[in-house]
Amino acid sequence: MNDKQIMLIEDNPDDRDLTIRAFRKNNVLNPVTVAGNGAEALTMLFGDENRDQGNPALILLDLKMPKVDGLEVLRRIRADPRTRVVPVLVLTSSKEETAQELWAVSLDLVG
Amino acid sequence: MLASVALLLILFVANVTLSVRAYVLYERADVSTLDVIGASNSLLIELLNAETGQRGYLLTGKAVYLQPYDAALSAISADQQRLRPRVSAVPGGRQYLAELNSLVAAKMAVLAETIKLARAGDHADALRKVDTGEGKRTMDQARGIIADIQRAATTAGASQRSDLHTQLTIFAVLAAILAVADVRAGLVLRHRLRRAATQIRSLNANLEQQVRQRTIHLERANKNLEAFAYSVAHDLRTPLRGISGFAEALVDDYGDRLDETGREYAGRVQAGCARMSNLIDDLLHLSQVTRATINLQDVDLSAEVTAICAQLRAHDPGRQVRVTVQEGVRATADRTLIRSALGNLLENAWKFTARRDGATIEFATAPDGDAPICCYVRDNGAGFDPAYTGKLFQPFQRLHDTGEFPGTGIGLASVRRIIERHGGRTWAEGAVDGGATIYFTLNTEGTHE
Ligand SMILES: Nc1ncnc2c1ncn2[C@@H]1O[C@H](COP(=O)(O)OP(=O)(O)OP(=O)(O)O)[C@@H](O)[C@H]1O
Ligand SMILES: [Mg+2]
Repeated sequence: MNDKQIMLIEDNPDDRDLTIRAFRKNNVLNPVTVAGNGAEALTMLFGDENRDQGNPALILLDLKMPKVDGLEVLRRIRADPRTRVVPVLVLTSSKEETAQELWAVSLDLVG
Repeated sequence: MLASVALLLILFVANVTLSVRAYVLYERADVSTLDVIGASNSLLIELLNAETGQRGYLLTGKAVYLQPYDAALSAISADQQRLRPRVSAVPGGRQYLAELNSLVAAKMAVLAETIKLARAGDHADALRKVDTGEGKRTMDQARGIIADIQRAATTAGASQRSDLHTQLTIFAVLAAILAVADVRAGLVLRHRLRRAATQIRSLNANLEQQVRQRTIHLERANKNLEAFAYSVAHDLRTPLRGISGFAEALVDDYGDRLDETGREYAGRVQAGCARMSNLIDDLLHLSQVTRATINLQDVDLSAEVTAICAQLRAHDPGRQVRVTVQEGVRATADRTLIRSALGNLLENAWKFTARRDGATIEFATAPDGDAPICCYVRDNGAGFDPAYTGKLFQPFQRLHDTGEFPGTGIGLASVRRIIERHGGRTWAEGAVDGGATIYFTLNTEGTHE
């Protein structure tokens, strides 16, 4: 269990380090791969050279990122049959509007 | 324009006045000429009467003949009196008058002298004097002068009449012109007035249009500003999370390597972060109040107040607060927003009566001329200095120490925004240690989207 990959998609280095620290403090010792923005995350998930690594066990996703934002990344993850079932934990400080959008993306996947 | 119409009217009236005067003079000129002729004829006749009387006396010696003579004497002086002013006014009249008067005087002197002689019994002497023919010559001269006077008076009268006639004609023509000008000016004036009225109407319409556009612009600008504030507040959260997260990590991971003071400083950083986080949350909440879409419905304000007070009581069971609520106060409002406003007001009342025995909170309506409904929340708590009433509704403005009564100072600001969005007004009354009353009106016809 402890060797399963966790993927952290977050553009803010402070948040990145604090998140990893929080894992460690709470004895989550899994290896964490970090993507510094949405585009990088997509390459890591669907680019050929990283494909053989398999799916991460969990994806932590920040919504507010420049260029390819979290919602777009989520949409792509849900659209691809290879990643469709990977659990995604969305990190956000915004409220309802975002929740509604997330809900819509999730419904897309079900339908 | 109005001035010129007035001037024309004045000219018209003046013209009519002058015309009437000229007409009177015209009639009078005629009478005056006739007067001169009558008086001078009478003078001549009286002179003859006087002479006849004198002759009769001289010839007969009978005193009865002196009667017509005496009558003629006074008639003559009356005629002279009548003639004097009238003839003086005629060109050359004074000259004629002087000649006539001296002739009359000479004639009367002769008559008087002969009568005196006759009275003295000297009839022959008197008759001799008459025979000299001097009396007849004087009479002929008098006749000539009177004829001259009559001619002069007639000519003068005629020319005066003709002058006045010309004047009258001119006045009549002027009157006609002025009347036409007046009517024309009146028409022009009316036209201009109408045009001015139309212009004013269109200016007004324009102004309304401008005001409407300005309002739209302002509302848009306000919305932009609001959106900006929201995103700034929101973006501030990210660095704040870093600061507070690392402060926490510092204390957690390296607390044992810090001394007491170091740990206290780190704690201060964390406390500041917590405060700032609260402020940001309040700002976001305030901004949400302004941005939220209004959803109007019939709301039972009394029921809302009762429910909120029950919640406050449940959270703070140790407090003894008497709450009076006027029943059946209803209003058209956005339920969520109005509930939040009432919540803020009642929380304040609850909070600021904390140090009061026999605390009371009252919700009721008050008469207000401007709005369909005016309510207030009153308490008998700590109150505030009325000099600062204006500050109460500003964001983050507080009149009490946080140590005494906690809070960030956003409650009343958000109340004001909510009420304003319902087309209403908010104001406060209070005194230090004398409790506070916060009033608000609702006028949902003036709701701002
Ligand atoms: N009922 C009241 N009695 C006395 N003072 C009041 C009352 N209501 C408001 N004030 C004064 O107005 C200030 C602003 O009120 P407001 O509700 O905006 O802020 P707060 O209650 O201090 O904080 P918050 O509502 O954000 O928790 C208060 O700090 C207090 O000084
Ligand atoms: Mg308050």
